[in-house]
Amino acid sequence: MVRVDVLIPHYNDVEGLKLSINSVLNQTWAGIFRIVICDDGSGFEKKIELKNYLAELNSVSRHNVCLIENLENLGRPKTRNVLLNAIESEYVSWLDAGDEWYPNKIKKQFNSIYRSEFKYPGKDVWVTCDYDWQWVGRRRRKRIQKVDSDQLKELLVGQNLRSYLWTILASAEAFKNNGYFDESLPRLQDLDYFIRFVANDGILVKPDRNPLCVYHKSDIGRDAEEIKDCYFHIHNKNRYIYQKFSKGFQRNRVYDVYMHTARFAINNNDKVLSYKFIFISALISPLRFIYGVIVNKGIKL
Amino acid sequence: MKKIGLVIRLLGNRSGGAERLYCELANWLVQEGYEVHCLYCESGDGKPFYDIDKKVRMVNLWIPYKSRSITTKFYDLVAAKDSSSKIMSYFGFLSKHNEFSKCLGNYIKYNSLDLTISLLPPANTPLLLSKRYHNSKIIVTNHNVPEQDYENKNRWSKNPYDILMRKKLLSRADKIHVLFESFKNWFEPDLSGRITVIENYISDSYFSILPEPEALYQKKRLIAVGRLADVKNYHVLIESWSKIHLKHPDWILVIFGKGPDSVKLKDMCQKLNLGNSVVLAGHTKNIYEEYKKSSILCHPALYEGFGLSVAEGLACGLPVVAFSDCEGVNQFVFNDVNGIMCDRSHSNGVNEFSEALEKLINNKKIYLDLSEKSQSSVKVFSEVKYYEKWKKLIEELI
Repeated sequence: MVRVDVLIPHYNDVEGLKLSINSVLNQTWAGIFRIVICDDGSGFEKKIELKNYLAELNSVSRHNVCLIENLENLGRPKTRNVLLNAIESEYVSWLDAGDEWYPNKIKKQFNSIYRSEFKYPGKDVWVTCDYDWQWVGRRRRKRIQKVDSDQLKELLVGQNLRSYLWTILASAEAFKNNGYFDESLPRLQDLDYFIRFVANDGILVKPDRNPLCVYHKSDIGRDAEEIKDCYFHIHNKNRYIYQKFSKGFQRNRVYDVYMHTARFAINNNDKVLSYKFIFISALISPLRFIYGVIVNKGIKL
Repeated sequence: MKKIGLVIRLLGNRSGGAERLYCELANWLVQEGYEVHCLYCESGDGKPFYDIDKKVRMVNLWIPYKSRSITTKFYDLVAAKDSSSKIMSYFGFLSKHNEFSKCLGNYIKYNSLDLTISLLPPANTPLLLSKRYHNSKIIVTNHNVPEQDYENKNRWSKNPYDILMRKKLLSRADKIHVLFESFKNWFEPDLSGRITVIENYISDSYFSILPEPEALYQKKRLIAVGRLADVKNYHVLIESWSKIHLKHPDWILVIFGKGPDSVKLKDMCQKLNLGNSVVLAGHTKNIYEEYKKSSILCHPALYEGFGLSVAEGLACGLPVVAFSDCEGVNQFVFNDVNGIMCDRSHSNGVNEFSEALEKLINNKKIYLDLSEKSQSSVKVFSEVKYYEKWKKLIEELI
């Protein structure tokens, strides 16, 4: 029977993990899941709670559940690399503690995988999907992953095609061929991972236009400076890709970084930093800034 | 996981020996557990001619004109006008290497490559220039006689500043690879500690069958393999053969390869009335089978880096006829041991070459004696030894 490894990094969020794992167990796909959780040095009590939950789960579920424990908190990219090394099944999917799949996700994505094996023989293919965006305290918004245009360009722009790993189902080989996550990126290592995949002739496909999972989004606790540094590290690493596009395109990406990180700053009540980033954005591309202010009747982050 | 970059200037659809070594080295490094980045710089989207592992990251560092820096655009503009004067040759050099070396430096720095290996001078120079941007170790490889790569004004760039810098920048390399022990002598004494010798290898399949000299002699076929270009000197071979072919109507000469001289050589065959006794056979996918159908390997080249076709011919039991001053061949073909090495000093060595061919054709005993020793003479160039040496070199550096 076909098996899928579901790789889940976890840190001090057992409730979120339960929500995510329940969404795996509710899948309509008939195969077997091997759920691999890598605990990244959670606190003592959380770890006990996690182990009790997993023991209970193993006794009632027909799927396999494994736990890997990091002795200390290594951070997201290293934990994801530990999970990459733990792959055993033929297919792999990712999930972050706190996010949920809708019941048909894996079933629909498998149909896409089988189709793409004929359509793109010999190529590495990842199947993504549309998703819902759920900000805390707001209603769900449908987000479309645009895979039918220049995928590399769309990824760099980051509006219509986003590097969300938990949307992906692919063969284990397609992940392994893409190598490891960049451990020098505490944030956005998945963006770097996606860019590398598409730049090396990898192809993203998706099933029909229906959201297949939900992302519970929150900016709280995310350091805007750190995110900005990660963006620029990715820009520098992949400068040869950015340079394939016009200088205007490159300037717009820098503008986006500052506007985007200003949002993190403002959501974490760091007004000074957010004003600084907005000011830099306005300097980088004054016309785009003024146009944005007129169209949105204010500054939209 | 250690990261290694392999740098070459052009890669897409190129089927040369250096490109083959490049792709094979990349595949082997992946198998050894390294993260491999293949860095090159060309305007097209051509894929590598040789198979390359999917785990290898292919990175084309070519930057379109619209995204180039103002300084590079200025160098391009100045260099396009005139390149004869000294100052112009300096701009020509910058125009050629500045952008690529900056991109290389940036890529190596931000992707934290531990080691970078470059192949051929057009990649060696920009990689060594990029050293100021990063701390990665550098190995430059030389796939020809150093004198030809570094001093011949008609090989690689003719720009005098480029030729000067090609040599001068070698001091920035951590290791300099050459093909033979004797090639070390060309380099400055202060570089001698960094030079490392790794000969090319012959694929294991060539050693799987023990040649049968008697049967090979009966094939009555002379074979030559290589690009149809000036440096391979095939016109001397054809001229030599024209002097003796009538005496040996049951023998033929087959030349495999394509190149700029093909029309010239065809005309020459017609003028000399060689008829069917010379065949220009073009490319073949399976040269191994062709060696097995032949008796003698002719290689009149002026110089060679390694002379892979000669080594492969020997592995198949074919005695070699070549010139004694051909550097990449005289390292492993010895007169009256596994071939006949001719003197080129009189009239391009045409007479000497035809005499050597005739000696082997007429004297079966000598032929059998040389053929007997052929395969064992090149067993040192095994795949295992080649990769062992690379492994040792890489582990020494990172």
